[in-house]
Amino acid sequence: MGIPAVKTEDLGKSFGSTRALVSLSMEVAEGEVVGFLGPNGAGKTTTLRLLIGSIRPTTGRAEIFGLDARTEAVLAHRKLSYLAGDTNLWPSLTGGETLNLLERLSGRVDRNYRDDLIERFDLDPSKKVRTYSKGNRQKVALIASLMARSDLLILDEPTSGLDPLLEREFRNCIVEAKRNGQSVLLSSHILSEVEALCDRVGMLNHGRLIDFTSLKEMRQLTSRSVDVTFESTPPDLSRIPGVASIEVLDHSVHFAFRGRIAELLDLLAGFQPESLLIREPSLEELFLDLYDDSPAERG
Amino acid sequence: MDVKLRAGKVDQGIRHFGIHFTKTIIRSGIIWGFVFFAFVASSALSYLSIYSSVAQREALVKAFGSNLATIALFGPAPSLNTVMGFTQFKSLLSISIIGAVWGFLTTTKAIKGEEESFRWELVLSTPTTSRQTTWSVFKAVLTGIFAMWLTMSLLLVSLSLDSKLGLSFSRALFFATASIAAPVAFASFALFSSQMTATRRQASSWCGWLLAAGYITRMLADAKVGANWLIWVSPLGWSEKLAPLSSPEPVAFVPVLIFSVVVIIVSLYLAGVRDVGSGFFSLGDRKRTARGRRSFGHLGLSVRTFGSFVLAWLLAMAFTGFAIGMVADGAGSTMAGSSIEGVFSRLGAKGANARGFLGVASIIVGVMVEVLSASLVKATYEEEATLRVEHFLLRRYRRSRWLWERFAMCVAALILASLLAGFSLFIGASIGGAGLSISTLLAAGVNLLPGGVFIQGIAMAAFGLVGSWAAKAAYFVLGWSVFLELLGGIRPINHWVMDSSILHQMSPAPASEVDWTSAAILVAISLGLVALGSFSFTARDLGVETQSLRWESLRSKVRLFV
Ligand SMILES: Nc1ncnc2c1ncn2[C@@H]1O[C@H](COP(=O)(O)OP(=O)(O)O)[C@@H](O)[C@H]1O
Ligand SMILES: [Mg+2]
Repeated sequence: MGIPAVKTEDLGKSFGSTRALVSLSMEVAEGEVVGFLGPNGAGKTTTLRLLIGSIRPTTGRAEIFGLDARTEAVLAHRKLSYLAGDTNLWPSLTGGETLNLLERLSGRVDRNYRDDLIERFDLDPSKKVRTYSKGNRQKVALIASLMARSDLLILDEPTSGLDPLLEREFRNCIVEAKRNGQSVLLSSHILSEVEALCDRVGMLNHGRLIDFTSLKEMRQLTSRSVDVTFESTPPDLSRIPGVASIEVLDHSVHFAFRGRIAELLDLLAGFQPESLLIREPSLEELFLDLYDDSPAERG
Repeated sequence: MDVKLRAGKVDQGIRHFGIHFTKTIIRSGIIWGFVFFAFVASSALSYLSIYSSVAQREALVKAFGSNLATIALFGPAPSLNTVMGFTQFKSLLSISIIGAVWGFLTTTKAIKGEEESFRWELVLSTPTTSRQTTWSVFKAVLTGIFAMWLTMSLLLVSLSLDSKLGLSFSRALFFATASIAAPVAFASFALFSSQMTATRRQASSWCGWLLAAGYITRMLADAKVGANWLIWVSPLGWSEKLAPLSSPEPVAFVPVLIFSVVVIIVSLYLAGVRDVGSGFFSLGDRKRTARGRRSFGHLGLSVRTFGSFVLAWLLAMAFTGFAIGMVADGAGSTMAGSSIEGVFSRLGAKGANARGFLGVASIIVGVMVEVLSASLVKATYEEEATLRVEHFLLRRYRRSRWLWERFAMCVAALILASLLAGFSLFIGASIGGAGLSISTLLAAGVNLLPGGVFIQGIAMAAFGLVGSWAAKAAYFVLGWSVFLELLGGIRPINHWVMDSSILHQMSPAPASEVDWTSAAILVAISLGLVALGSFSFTARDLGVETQSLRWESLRSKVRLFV
């Protein structure tokens, strides 16, 4: 593996007495898609803005492809595109003019890809930004950050304001980017989005990184959810080791299981179940699990 | 805003917001009422102390009574031998102009500012009509004007208890009422322009145009360059005709009332038929397929976003320069041998002739160059506050490059402005028969440039520290200079103090030669300030008010100990 696309060491930022980010150390490898997950005010935007050098770290440092995010910002920016959390466009320009301007400023745009994106996102570039809806503004900003095909994409809540159809189109774009060898770091407070896209997920709360594991590892750490239906009144399953939080409804039982699946199957087979469904926990459930200990203030 | 809801539950948040909003306007009205009163009281009291004898007062009448130069600038000067006649001459037109600006800025902010921030849609999403909402917002503005009137009335009535001033109870009330004529007229017009245009800036610039046209129309009438009846088509002329302290003409309230009522009714009609977030007259917002694909860089972007604002300002300056140039000859000749020569020479003009007049009157154009400079500073700050600057910084721009490019573009606009000022003075002076050469007046125009550049310099130095300080620094320097210049016209001021005014740093060309050396020094200092600003801008956080955060954390530390 070469130089990581993003690397932070003890990165921290305080705004006055607010500690927006506390001692973050992490890496995004080349070609990896990494997500930051956390409720509003968790410090996601702060982290991303530290990476693009817009704000100075209070502690630690950040590197983009080995370049210091702060002192070598201009060089680092040649390798990345950034999508701001709040779209910040000029209201008096049209969408097309905005894209032209940004293209001219960056000087490295794949025009065919840009036109392709305009079509896929169904953007009318001839209207003024002022008259666009939030979703349309987000489209312009999104196209602007994707069209350069940068080595690293830093995207702050990329799908906010997009409808489900466009959200799917966005996912396709990220899949393409990954296939293309680009690295992606995105933030979101929507679990399903991160779940669908990311190789690894970092969870932030109150400026602290709670956990940073691959989804696979994480799922193994946590319990699976099991639904069993029987022909008659269900047997008492509570004595099976690893079974927890049992809920019974008529002939069916729902419970959480932690342990070896083969052993569970052996035991259940004796009770003649009618149907059996074993699911990996959704990120939603994982997230709630983790936050049980540290209740989040969601805005 | 006191939004009346016909049905359904009142959204507490919106109600609370509305009350806060009205309070802010009322507070501002009261503050300005105080300021206007202070202006009136200081004129009256300084008159009493400076012109105490009958002979002195007669001399004053001789100097200013029929002096076309001052009449053109400040309005007619009847009964200068009385305290109140002088006070009216000194304060009425200034109060009307400032009041008019307050009126229209407050209104456009209330209507367009809210609309742009999308809070308007929040209010409209409750069961009200667009017309009702518009009317209730405007009522808040009218309440603010009423607060201004009440403040002035109470204070003026208390002033009238001093019999030496010759201000009767009824005159005091009449003056307060006359003072709000312009705010009412311009607030009403702003309501109209807010319906017609898409953005707050456009709406305000329509009002600025009306104000400039009104000022110049009454100037032409008063300086006897144009017909007498012109005074009746100028909103500022109405205030002037009211003449509350010399020979009151209440009939001048009639055009104010008719104008305001008609304009308000039309606006309320338009409010119901236009779309929120656009204007009735906004061609710019139509779909433009042909232009949707135009390509430009940093300069083109600035022209697109600020071109029309700068252009409007340049035209207003050209118009003002032209009018001043035109009255210069007549004004200069009536000055000769009068004590106004003394006033002008305190301000730096030598010689009682068209040159002398232009030397002082071009200060007005100089102030316009500086106001333009300060508004451009505000635009620079907005690019940062909205974080649009990041689009540049993420695409090959160093922060210093962005800042210097902004500065260069602002200076280019100022150069255009100063050349245009000189040229329009020349055209006006030629028509008016002042007989000054184009090179003299172009030089006088360029002479106004360093002040504008210096404002940029100070503002950029402040911008490097905290973004929002930029415009504050610019307007502070500008306000301080204008204040000193006004005060300097009344009484001699210590020259060290006077030197802190950038207006005073400019030589009073064409009354004297342009001092190119000090102009160059002022520009060099400005460049140094920009360099300083660009240096600290590179080091600071973007879009974060670091200084105020430091202050906050300091305070929280202090609280720990207390
Ligand atoms: N410019 C700023 N000034 C003061 N506080 C800030 C600023 N930006 C962010 N914060 C604070 O830092 C914390 C993290 O904010 P942010 O990174 O925007 O969260 P997220 O993007 O996860 O919603 C919040 O408590 C927020 O109030
Ligand atoms: Mg955020």
